[in-house]
Amino acid sequence: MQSRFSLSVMAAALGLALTLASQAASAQDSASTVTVTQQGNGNTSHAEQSTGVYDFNNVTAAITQIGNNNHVGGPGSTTGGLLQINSGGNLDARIQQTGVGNNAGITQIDVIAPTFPVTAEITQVGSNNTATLRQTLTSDLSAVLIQNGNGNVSAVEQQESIPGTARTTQTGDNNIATVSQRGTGYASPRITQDGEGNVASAVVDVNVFGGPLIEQTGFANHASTLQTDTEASDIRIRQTGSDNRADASQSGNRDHQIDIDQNGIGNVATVSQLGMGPATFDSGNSAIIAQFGNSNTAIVRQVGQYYVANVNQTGSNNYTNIYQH
Amino acid sequence: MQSRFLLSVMAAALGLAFQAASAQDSTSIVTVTQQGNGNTSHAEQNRSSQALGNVAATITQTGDNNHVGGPGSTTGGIRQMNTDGVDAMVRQTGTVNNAGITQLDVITPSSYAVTGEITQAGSRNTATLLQTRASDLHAVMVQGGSGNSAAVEQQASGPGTTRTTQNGNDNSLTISQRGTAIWGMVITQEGDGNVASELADNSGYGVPRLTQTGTANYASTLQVNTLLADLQIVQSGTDNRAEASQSDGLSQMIDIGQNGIGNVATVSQTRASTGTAGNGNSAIVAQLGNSNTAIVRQVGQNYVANVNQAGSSNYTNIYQH
Repeated sequence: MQSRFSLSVMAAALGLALTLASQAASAQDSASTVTVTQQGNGNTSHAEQSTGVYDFNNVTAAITQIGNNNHVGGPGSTTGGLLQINSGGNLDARIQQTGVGNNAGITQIDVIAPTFPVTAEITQVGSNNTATLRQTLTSDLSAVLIQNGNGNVSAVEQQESIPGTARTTQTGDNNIATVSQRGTGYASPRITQDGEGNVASAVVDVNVFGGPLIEQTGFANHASTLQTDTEASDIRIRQTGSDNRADASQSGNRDHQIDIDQNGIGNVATVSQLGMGPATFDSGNSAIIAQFGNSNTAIVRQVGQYYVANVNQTGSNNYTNIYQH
Repeated sequence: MQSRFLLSVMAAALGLAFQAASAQDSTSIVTVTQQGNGNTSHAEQNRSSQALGNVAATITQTGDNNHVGGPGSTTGGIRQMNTDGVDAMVRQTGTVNNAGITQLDVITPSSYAVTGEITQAGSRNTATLLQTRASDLHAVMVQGGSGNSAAVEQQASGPGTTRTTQNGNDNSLTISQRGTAIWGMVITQEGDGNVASELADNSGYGVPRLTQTGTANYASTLQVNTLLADLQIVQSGTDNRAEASQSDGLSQMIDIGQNGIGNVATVSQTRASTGTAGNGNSAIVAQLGNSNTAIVRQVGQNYVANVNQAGSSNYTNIYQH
């Protein structure tokens, strides 16, 4: 009897201790960490981290690959590499690749963390690499994409996110950077390219506040922005060099702003704005183009009301065409 | 979910703000500044009829061989159509520049004005200003330099003013008004070898004033079928020529004053219908200096010719039929 009683007491004591320990642990943050390092050629990594909403996890994933023809996700980003779903705490996803012909993909979905940062970062050093970063239903996010080399391709897609930042930096020639945003607010993507023959494209749909900033340095670069159904959003394009092209288009209700600055020879800036409403945030509907150099062209097309076009050209053989309807 | 909620709240706030702002007038403004040579600018502002708003375009070019519009004004530079209350201004500094402004179908109530203004400083510049179906309009053309040419044309317009000033030598100016209600222009040329030509056709009441100062200048005016034409030409200098012609219409009045040597004034008035002698149809020529010539030809009724010459070797010929 005494032994049975002792066992019962011990069991009761153990149960109580476990219960108290569990209650104490529930107030602490849990952690989910992934770390992968691959050296060599033709390697592939996948990682998926899924937690409950508002679990307040500290979720991090870091994949490092050194070599050629390596993949985080399917080749050409056909399938996700790093996938993080439904987390309500700190999120951090990082991929670093060094080599040629690599690809990396990060997807973060339904991450609701108004006070916790969500960070995704892809860094690629080498040529002919591709990177894809996708964020859906997130907030307080930071997306960083860095590529150093030639012939690289990057894509960032953000949907229904507020607020956040997306930065893409490419150094080299013949690179392509694309940023796509839909239903975002206070999100001002930034694309920086340094080299020749680069292409930067920003597509924004149903956005309020915030617009893309594209900065290109070099020759024969092309910056293209398209904003549809946007309000209180601005586009800024800065190009330094020759034979560059900047195309900016906005449509929606009101408060459209496009600011293009080109410094060099033979540059072309084209602005298209469509909207019927008045300015409501003291920002106005305006197109501002400043070109410094010779043989530059500025074309502005504004359809709607309350529009202002301002073109400033310094140099010779420049051309301006403005149409307001 | 939270981000969706935030976006919905922002969208609702935007909607309220838009409703509050909808009662304001619209604005359409173009500003272009070009510094350098061989630059070209075009601007077109086209609004729906009776859309109240502040429509303004200003283009400033500094340098040579710049164009607002096609070279030689072959195509329009600033073009404004179908709107109320517009303002177009071109400023050019340099040589061999050209500027063009076209304002079409601008319907303005009394509180809105239509203004087209071109200012050019330099030589061998050209400027063209066309206003059609506008009212309460103001056309201003200022050129400083030599070898410049300017043309102003107003058609089917209400009341308005035209003020043109050229300062330099060998400049030329043409102004025509057709079908304007209250017409008239102020033309001023200072320098030598300048030419000013004015035409008024099928228009209402007009009081054109033309002043030339210098040598070998030429002023030519033709007024056809105007309700009332009260023309005044003043020339100061030598070897100047003034030719004034009026035909048909109701009341015709020409007043030419020349001060200098070797000047010639020629007046032709025909077929004024209701003018009353002493009050309506008259030609007055006053010449101060030597070797001047005054020729007056009046065909019709109730005409008065008055020539006053002070000096030597002057000549007068008056023909009334």
